[in-house]
Amino acid sequence: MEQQPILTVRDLSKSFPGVRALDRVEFDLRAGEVHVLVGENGAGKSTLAKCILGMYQPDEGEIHLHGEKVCFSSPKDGIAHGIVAVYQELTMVPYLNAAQNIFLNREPLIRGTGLINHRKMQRDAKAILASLSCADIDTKIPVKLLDVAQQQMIEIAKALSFKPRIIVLDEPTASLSEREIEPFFEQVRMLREQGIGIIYVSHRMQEYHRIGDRITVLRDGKFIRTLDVGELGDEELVNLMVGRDISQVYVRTKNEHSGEALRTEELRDHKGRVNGCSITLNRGEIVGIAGLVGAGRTEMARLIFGIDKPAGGKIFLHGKEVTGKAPSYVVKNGLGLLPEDRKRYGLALKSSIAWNTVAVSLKSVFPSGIVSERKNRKIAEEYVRLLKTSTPDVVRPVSQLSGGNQQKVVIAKWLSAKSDVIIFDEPTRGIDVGAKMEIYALMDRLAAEGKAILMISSELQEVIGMSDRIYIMKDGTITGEVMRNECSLEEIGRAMVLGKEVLA
Amino acid sequence: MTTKSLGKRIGSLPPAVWMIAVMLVFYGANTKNYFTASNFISILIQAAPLFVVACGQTIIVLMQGTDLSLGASLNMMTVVWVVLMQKSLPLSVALPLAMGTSVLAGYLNGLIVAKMKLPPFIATLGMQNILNSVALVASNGSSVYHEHAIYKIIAKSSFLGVPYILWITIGCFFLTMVLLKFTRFGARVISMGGNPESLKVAGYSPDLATIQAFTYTGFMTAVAGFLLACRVESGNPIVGNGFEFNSVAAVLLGGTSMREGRGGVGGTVFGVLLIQILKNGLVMMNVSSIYQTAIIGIVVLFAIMLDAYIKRRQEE
Amino acid sequence: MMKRIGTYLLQSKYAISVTVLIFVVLGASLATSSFLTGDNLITVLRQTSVLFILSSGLTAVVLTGGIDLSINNSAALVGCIVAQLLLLGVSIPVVILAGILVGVVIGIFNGLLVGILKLPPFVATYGTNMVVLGISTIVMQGKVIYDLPRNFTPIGVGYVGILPIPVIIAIVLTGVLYFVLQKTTLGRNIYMLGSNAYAAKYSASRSVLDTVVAYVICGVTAAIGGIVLTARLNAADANMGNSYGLQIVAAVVMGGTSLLGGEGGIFGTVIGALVLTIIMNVINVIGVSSYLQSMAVGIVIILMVWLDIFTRSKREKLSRV
Repeated sequence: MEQQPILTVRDLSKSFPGVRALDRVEFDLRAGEVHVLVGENGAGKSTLAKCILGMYQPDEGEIHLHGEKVCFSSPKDGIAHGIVAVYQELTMVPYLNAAQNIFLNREPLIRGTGLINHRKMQRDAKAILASLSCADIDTKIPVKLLDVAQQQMIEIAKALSFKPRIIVLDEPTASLSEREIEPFFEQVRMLREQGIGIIYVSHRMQEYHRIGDRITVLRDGKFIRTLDVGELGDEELVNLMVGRDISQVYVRTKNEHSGEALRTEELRDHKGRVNGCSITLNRGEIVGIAGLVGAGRTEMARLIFGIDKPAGGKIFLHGKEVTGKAPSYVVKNGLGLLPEDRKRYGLALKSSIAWNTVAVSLKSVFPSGIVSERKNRKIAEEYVRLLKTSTPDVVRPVSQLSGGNQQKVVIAKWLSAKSDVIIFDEPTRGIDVGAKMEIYALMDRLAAEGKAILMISSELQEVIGMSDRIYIMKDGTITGEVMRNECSLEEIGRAMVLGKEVLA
Repeated sequence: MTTKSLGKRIGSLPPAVWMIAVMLVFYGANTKNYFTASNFISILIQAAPLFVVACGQTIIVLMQGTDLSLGASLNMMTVVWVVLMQKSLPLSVALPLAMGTSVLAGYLNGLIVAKMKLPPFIATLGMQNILNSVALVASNGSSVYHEHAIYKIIAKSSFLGVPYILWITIGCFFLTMVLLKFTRFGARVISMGGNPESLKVAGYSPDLATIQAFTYTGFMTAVAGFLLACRVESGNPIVGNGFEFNSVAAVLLGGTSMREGRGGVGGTVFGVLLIQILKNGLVMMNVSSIYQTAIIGIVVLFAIMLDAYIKRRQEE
Repeated sequence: MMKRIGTYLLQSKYAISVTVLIFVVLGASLATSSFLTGDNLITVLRQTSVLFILSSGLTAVVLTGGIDLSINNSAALVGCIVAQLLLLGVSIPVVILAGILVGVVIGIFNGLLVGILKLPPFVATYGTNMVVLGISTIVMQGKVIYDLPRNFTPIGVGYVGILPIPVIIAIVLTGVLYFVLQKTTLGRNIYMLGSNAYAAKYSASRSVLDTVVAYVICGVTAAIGGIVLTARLNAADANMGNSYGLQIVAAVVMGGTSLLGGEGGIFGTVIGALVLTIIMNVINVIGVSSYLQSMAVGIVIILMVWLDIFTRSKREKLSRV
């Protein structure tokens, strides 16, 4: 089914201060195909998508649409040429209804007046949603009252309302639970049938086979290869993405596990996101929690850390019960947490590296209550050396660091607080490969020093690569437990999705 | 509509509604001649300028801002209008010119917020000072008078039994409501408060939306200044002081939230009425003016706390 | 050379405020021959110090990302209570302590509204402002008190050497607040809270406590300001805070302390209060209509904050690695 591409990208380059985000990238898209863009975080997938959409203007290279060279100065131009996007972060206005959101700024007007024709708008919105088999979505109530999957469908309806020829889907399933993903894929396949070209950005291996036709691999901003789905196995594909043998990426030295560090018994929360989780974690051990988004992993971490109060169950830290205690108490007893969204929860971005480093340990570093900037800087410099954080000094705001180095500051924060049980929630999200390997090496070293690490991650390869033991979590419960090397990527992936016991 | 959604609707009414009900019962039981048409008309006439200002403020609060210059803008508008009439300009010229100053002030606010990226709080704080200066200079620091029939027509004469001042107020209410619910302008205001990114994605400049909103608020203030001047039959450089905060209070009491673009001008009606009915009743009950400020403060604070509490319960 | 000065100005925290201050002083001395005379400078400093004292604690609150609109009327309430107690013949140290205690109570109240009830600070403290104004009116029974005891008024009008006592109080407060905000773990927590409240929560810090403490600091300085103001006016009246109103907020934001929290400091507020006062003083002295005072103030507020925001964004672009 060889045919002319509708979109061709030649030699595209784009630089940001300090990074060459795209380096002479090639890409093409045919009508009626789902072309998956894969690569590690920071590989340039989103940048490429944004250049195609007109959000970024490439420094070099050309984009051809139906054989004609195009040059977009804004997403508006892209839309005018039939290229629309469904973004990873929802662009819904919470207190407008579905129809208003779909037709924002393009509302049908009653002829001769400036008034919105709500009836027509409702009808049109319903028609689009019906074409997506989502006629049951209430288009009259604020979208805030709808669930995320419904909002996602409204996003797609919004994209379709532009009558596009090309749709860019940027991590569209990131906020969907597994139940919601298959119906979503149905819609994507339907769009494909209609001859729309779909650029699908995703980092979830499992999705490529289910939805993709072709795959283009990017790495460190460079074009690596375009291939058909099924041409390569998962492991080989990962090797392409990572650029080296995975066995080199994930370093896990064998070390002794001694004594229980953290245990939960039948942990439950008030919102029904965590329904009876029992896990144990030993000193010197890295335990992974594999599960899909919405499986309740982050919620469990929040319960253990004391941000939310549990509805039931118990938590023990070094054998001492800490159930329902405030974070300050739990932290005093040695727990640390690297939150999944480090910019939002992990760091005071405007503050310096030095300040962030002692954010938790302030009281123990300065027991008199009087702060010495010099001592503070010294401590921070120590951790910069220890963790190989790359920064000219420790007084600059952490906002100026790259993702990997920011994550190191968060780690330093907990190390300086002498935490010996640390929860890593999505520790390598948004971090490039080189920095990832450093984070892995660091985790390995911490475990070797006897610290206990609980790792939550959606990247299956890293869970398998780094963990001594893996819990599989689904719908708020632990559905399985496997030892390192006992299980393949596919098996765990299936278990995450289907919730079956993995091993006998 | 099912009973459940009806129940939900009642539950989502701002607490101001309940507090008004309680006050009506309380005042009705404790004062003579409370439930008379003339008393309610007088409450409404008293409330009119604040309500019109609050219509404008609703727009700004929906966009997660506050406009602190509205009181000063009222001062300026009333003074400029009367002074222009003193200079024997006809009403048809003086009034549009004076209203134009308030609209211009709103436009400048929008410009400063959108283009200079100042937080609305600071931009309008600066503007407040500037407009007060204009009012003081134009009036030379005291009330200005000019005889004209228009005051009495607006404030006292009626059409179909309803004073003109109320017709204009009702007009402002419907205008704002229609703008919010039935025009693209309104959708943009709500998206600015809820998710400015969405507006960008839809290809509309948030800056432009900001400027439009502030300009409209300036226009509402101009109308309010007109009503206020007619009621006090003069121009006065301090007559509007406090309107900026009272209007924010009224908007919030009406259930409009400073987050997410939630709310609307319908609730503001109750917010303004709450304040005005409370004040009027205290006077009717002959409560000493010494205690009035404290009572009003406590009731308003209580209503705000109640609203915040209910909203948080709903979130959870 | 110009470029280096430019770069330096972009990098220093108070650079913009200091530059504006220098220009304002230069302008003032050029506009009036009397500005730089000793007498006038002392007057300016004394006027500045009341405004500064009132704004100083607000700096802490704004650093947490909050705001306190109740300062002017809190100060008035303290002044009224102080005056009433003095009339009753209570001894001055006790009166002062009582006044400060009132400030503490108001601070705790605001802190709880914001920290525990999670009311938007703007709304909560505006409500408090109305309530305290009401209480002042009740305390004064609608009257004005004149002629306070002779040994009380020096707090507002007295001198130590050539320095007026309010100026000394302002200097001491600057020192204390500098120490608290820059040199203590409490200050550090206040900055971190304002910088990112979520991160503070995920760093196990006690945000509610820090919030309450910031509002208490604000309440205390409001109380001190109220006492000084009462002594200077040698009178107390429920509405005595009115003229300060939003000037207090203006002094803080003009000093470069961001309303978003986490950026700025007490010296900024010193400069903000100075600039505001000098402008008003000059307009008084050169004999232009005093009605133009607030025009100048308004323009300077907008320009100064704009300069601050503008250079900050430039600075971020310059130093990105």
